[in-house]
Amino acid sequence: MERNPPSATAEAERAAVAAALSRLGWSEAAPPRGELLPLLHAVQEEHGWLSRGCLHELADRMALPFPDVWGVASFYAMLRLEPPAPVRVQVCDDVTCRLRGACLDAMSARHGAPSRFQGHAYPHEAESAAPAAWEAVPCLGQCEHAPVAVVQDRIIREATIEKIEAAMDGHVPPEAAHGLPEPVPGEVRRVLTKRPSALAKAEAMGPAALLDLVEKSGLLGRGGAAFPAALKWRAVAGATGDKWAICNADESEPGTFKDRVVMEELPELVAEGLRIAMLAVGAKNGLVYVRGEYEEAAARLRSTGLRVFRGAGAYICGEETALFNSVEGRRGEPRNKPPFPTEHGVFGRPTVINNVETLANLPLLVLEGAEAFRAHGTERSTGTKLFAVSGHVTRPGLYEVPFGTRLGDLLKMAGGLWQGRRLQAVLCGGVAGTFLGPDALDTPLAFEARSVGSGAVIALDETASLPEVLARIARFFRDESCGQCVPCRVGTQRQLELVERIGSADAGILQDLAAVMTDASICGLGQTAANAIMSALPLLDGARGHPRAGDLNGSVG
Amino acid sequence: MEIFVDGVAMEAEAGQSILQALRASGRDAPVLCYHDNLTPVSVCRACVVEVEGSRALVPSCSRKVAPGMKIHTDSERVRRSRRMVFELLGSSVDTSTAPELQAYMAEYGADPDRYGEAAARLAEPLRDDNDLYVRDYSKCILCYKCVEACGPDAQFTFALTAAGRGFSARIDTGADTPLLDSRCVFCGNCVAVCPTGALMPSLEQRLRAAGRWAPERQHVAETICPYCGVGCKLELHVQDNRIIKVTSPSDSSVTAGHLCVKGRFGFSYVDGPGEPPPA
Repeated sequence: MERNPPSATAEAERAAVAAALSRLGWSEAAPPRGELLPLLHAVQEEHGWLSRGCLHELADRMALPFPDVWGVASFYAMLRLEPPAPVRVQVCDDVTCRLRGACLDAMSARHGAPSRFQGHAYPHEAESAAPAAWEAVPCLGQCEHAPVAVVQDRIIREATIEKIEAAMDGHVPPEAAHGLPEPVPGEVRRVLTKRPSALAKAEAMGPAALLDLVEKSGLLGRGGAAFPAALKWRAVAGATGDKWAICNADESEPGTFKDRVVMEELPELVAEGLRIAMLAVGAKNGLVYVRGEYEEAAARLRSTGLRVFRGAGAYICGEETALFNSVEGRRGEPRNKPPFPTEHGVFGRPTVINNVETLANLPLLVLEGAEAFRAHGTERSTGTKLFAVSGHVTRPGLYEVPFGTRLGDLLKMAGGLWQGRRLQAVLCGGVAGTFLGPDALDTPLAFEARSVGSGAVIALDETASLPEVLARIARFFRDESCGQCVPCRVGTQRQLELVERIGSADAGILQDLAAVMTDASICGLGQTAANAIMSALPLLDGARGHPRAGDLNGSVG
Repeated sequence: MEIFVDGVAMEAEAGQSILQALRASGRDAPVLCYHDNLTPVSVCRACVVEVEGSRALVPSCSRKVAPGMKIHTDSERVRRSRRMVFELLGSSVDTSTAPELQAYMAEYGADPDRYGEAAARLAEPLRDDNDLYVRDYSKCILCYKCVEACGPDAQFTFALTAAGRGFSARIDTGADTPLLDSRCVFCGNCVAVCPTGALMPSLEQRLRAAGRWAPERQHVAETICPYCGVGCKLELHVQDNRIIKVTSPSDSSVTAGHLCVKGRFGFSYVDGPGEPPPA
């Protein structure tokens, strides 16, 4: 059936694929498989969506089996397998935007129910069905401007139904202003600072001295796992042959936008960081894998000369081995480890992969040395840390503070609770992180206190519905599971069903689900999918309807 | 090398997986996605064991043994995770033609009903679009064996993929293309490795649906495939003196269990012209 579409359609599809191939420099030879995701993006840009005919044509031109191309295309939320609505509207319905009043009900009332990506509902019958007028989408990483929406790829900050409808009518929203706000008292801007280039000094130091420097600094990975950067680097530096250094810019943890701000405001820090990493480990190949929704960040990075690879809407691709598979033109399914990336990374080569913020620390470290670096932070969490503060605070935004800063002090820097309200809970580290109650404001923000994670800090005031937030978190994991392993694929579905009726849910089943997901999932997504929910259960106990709340000076009641 | 399993020292060989070492010593672990002739994908997580020093449980089918490794195959953590894997599968897929999975569920005390009536299950229509085999993805546990057998582990046809994501992920021919329009060459090697009956020869499916599938009246006769000179070993499954299914033993040095369309499905000529099919 899909082989025999009307000939005009077939001609348009062939032309779209040819234009995409030509644009990426593959007019003659068949592109290697690693070009699949860039080409899927390009074909979609040419044709508006990825019809069956386009995918067959692309498979033929790439000499790939059609099922392989379909398997990859159906994995990513940004790749459209059905024709889109004439005006594409996406409204974020994730935790922070809901807390800040996302106009979901108004959109539903006026434009009908939204469509939601749920792993591309299957089987596909929608090739001719009328598309929904708008989509509800997970966190877009713009939480300091929540609630946000996207109309025809233009971001609408502090979105209201009026702003969204104006954009739908063709009124283009104004470009967002650039520049970091002035630091507030208590902030320590070390990374978020324009500095002279550190590259010449790094080159003069050479790989051995750079490795020593990173080791002495105690630099821990800023992506969430806090893995010592020097361990990764030394392992790859010791390997021979063709090697890779990758910057992981697939920031997708709800409530997290720190990497986006760094890339948009100080892209040269990221570029220098990656080049220093390549120099230190002896990698000839460098790449930044940027979250698909971060178009402006990708453009800023490209302007520094970096090779930029765009994701396509999959939280799981922030997991390093899923990211490798994505770069290789495969489904973004995590690999079993070992072997570890330092030995068997992208394209099977030794690979060092670091988070944006980790790399952005390197110019500072090279210029000032390990001792000055360690002058900030705690014994084990050295340096400063970027925190993305959002939710019910007066001034949501990015704050750079030394590790060890008290959670309550960070919230005060963000202006405290908005509208004079009291604090119910803080979600630290994103939806894979931990809920802390109003009596935990003295918690130091440090990896050893398990309060950092992705660097997201989401404040919930006394009016927030914690059960609703938990249900949204559970749905996020169900929607973003790759589906490969049983504990995560089915466990996140069951967790969602239970959390949606959390008052009557059997806590024993939730604990069993948490155990199997944490213990037996392949990767960090499943292993952390129950973290936030389990940490919130004590806050829910006996508090339904009357949540415990407190102010930032420690009075709780 | 020496490893320790449940506190007992035993010998293992370098390069062995934990599962291979367990089996060599007369022990075992439950497996669903593992197959001797396919690359381990370690996705079902049924075979997980506890290895001291590892934060999470590890899949014994693919994790290699290391000198001095301390492995626990029967700890509370291991039993709990295995029970939950079987329970989650039992709560979401039709296990009626998956005797191994049913046995594991019973052995580990899985209780798939405790998620209630509202728990989402795979509800896919029977895909009966050709004469040779049917696909019932309501029974699919997504073990990837069919994808591997169709692809680089045996057949190199690449007619199958995993598609979609999460709970909506399915095995797919690509845009749900009917098999006759797909790349499928009907070797049936996917059917042979399917552990749950999600893939089933059409004849078997019809006999079962009619209540005429009778294992107690079946026997297996071994022979060599008559079609060409390769010499594939065949197992003819015979019921009431009629061939109802053909397989090949997975330990056959010639086939490793794999056949072509003729060997696996081309047996109706035995009954001669005019004979009604058995179902």
